[in-house]
Amino acid sequence: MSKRILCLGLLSLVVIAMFSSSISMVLAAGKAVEIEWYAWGRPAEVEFFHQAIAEFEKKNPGIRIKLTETGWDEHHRTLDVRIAGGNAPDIYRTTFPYVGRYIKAKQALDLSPHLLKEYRKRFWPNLRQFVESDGKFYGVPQMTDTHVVFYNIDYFKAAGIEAPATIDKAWTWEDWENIGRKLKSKSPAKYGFAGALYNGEPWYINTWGGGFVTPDGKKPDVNKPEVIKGLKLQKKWYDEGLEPINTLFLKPDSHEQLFALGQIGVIFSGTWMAEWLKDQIGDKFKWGTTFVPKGPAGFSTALGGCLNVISPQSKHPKEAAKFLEWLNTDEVMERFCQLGFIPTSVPLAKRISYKDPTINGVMKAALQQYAQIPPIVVTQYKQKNYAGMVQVFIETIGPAMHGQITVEQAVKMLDKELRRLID
Amino acid sequence: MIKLVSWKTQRRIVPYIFIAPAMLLLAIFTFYPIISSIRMSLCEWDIIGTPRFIGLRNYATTLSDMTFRHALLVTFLFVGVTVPVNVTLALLTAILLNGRLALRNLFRSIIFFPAFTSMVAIGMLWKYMYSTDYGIINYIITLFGGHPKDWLANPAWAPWSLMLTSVWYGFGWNMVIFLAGLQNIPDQYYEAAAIDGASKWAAFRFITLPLLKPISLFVVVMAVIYAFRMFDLVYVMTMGGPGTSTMVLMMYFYRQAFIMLRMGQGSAVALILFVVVFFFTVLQLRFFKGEVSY
Repeated sequence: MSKRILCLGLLSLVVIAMFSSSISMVLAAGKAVEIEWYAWGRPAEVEFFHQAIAEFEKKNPGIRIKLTETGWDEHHRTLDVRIAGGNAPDIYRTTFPYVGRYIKAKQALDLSPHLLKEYRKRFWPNLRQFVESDGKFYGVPQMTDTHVVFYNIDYFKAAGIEAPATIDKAWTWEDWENIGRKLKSKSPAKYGFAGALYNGEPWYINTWGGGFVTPDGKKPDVNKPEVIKGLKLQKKWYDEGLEPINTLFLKPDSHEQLFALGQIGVIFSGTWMAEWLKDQIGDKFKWGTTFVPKGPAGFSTALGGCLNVISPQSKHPKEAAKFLEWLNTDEVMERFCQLGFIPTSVPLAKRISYKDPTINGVMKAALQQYAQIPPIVVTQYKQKNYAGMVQVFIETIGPAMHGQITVEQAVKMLDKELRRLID
Repeated sequence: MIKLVSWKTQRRIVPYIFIAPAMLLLAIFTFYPIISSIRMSLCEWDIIGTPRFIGLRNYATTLSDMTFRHALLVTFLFVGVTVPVNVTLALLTAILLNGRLALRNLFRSIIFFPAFTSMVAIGMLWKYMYSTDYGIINYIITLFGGHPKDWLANPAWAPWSLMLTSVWYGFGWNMVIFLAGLQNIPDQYYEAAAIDGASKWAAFRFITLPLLKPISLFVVVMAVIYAFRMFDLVYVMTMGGPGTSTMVLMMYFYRQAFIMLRMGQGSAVALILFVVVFFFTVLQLRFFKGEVSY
């Protein structure tokens, strides 16, 4: 009896073993393909991502998108470690200055076989420059943004200042200085303005005819009289208290915070700050948005935003591309940009209307300005170590603004450091 | 029962079997990263690319970099100021709170409190307190008719403001260690000294201090290592600025590795820092040599 049970048991095991591989194959065939999307975002963005994923999965039952949410501060560091460890996510979000590094290291998949040419041509030409190379297309721009001027309408009224309504009437740096003086003397503002040097980005020196690099990107373009003149003017503003030095390069205090507290009359900041300012200011005072001032060499500002890239390590690039294509259609992008972003698609940017009146006001100025961003901005962002350039700018110009060294000395040091980074 | 190995052999092998798991973990999580770090310091590498062997160039670049030399000076300033202040303050507070004092447990808890709070949270809190325009410190100064100061925005003030926060954060921890040491000194010594007519100062100098030497050595060594490794507060409060006025070595390491994306040079900086800390630790052990009795 026991021998018979033993034989039957062994036989059953053999049968199960024979069929188990076939069963797992059948189960796997029915299972959805899982794509990991590695992204950071503000709470409203993440909420949108979850909604979009649910919508996409409903339309595509064979594909499941797993969102791995990260914080901005550690996003690129952890992403780099995952890539180096051979464990890259299928799709990762990055910024325009960073993407060149991934393309160079062959960590961005060419999407041209997956995305139609017409689809790719919708994006702003300056954004395409970051992702296009030799007819290949390495990332899908998701949103873009820029810096604008936020001003306190109540203080402007008190000081008798009017903000320009069209970009051709944008202020010059001379106007800017006069506005600061008026605000300080005729309004309750403790400081006139802040943020021209913002977080160490070079657009202020672009307006004076310089830049981190020359237009051909081959050498630094800072050690010149025009740039020195511009930086000396900036130092004068700090010395006279027109601008709070404690907000220089956003350290240690934030000029946005001081603006929201009513201590500064007018500031530069990113369009993405509109929502935060709206929450912080509430009914304390009325505020508006206008264009950044022009310098002797013209106009310049920041070109920010994000794009999504597919890793060559992805096992399901086709499905990942399908998701990205859908996520960045004009229809989905329009809903996403309602959060306060400039669409990356030109046709959409031309017709978009923002439901939130505050965001709509900010974007009115931002869109006019965005269309005029000069090519030097892209050239600078495309440098292999843009973040390093910003760091040396902060480290050399900072002491000059504090009077520890002269502007001439600072510019000379900056030139040397930039040269090392370009080489 | 078959005897596979002799008792003698067993005695020799068994201890190694017992420590094998710990050694394995140590090898994976300590020795391997150290060896990797040494190897990496000889390469040019940006994490996602392929490492390229460049010999000792990372060390040469680091040692000739003005910012590195400046960071080394700032770090020595931090160590030179915070360690003596921290240790002295901790010892004095421990002596005070070891005596008969009303609410002494409450005071001990309050002083120890920062030690179990996140350093990032402490940094954020002090950053707000130091704010030129809305900080409580300047508010109090103006209440008394003084002028607000740029505590963190002025390159001359910023290192001192950071050092103050660092001492405030660290001395509570050291105070508890000193307190434990003080409570281990038998009362009989003090009683005998009192009978002999020794003053309080003499008792402190000839009883307390010598018997606290093992504890003092530990506290000083740990405080020096902590001061050399200072990073969190700098990162949260100043990011090494204004300019490079608070650029300590760990911040410089972060700058090279994660901002400049020079992982090889970052590793070289970490190893240089290791050598510096090792040198100072050996120096301290030598200084206390023969004078420490356990």
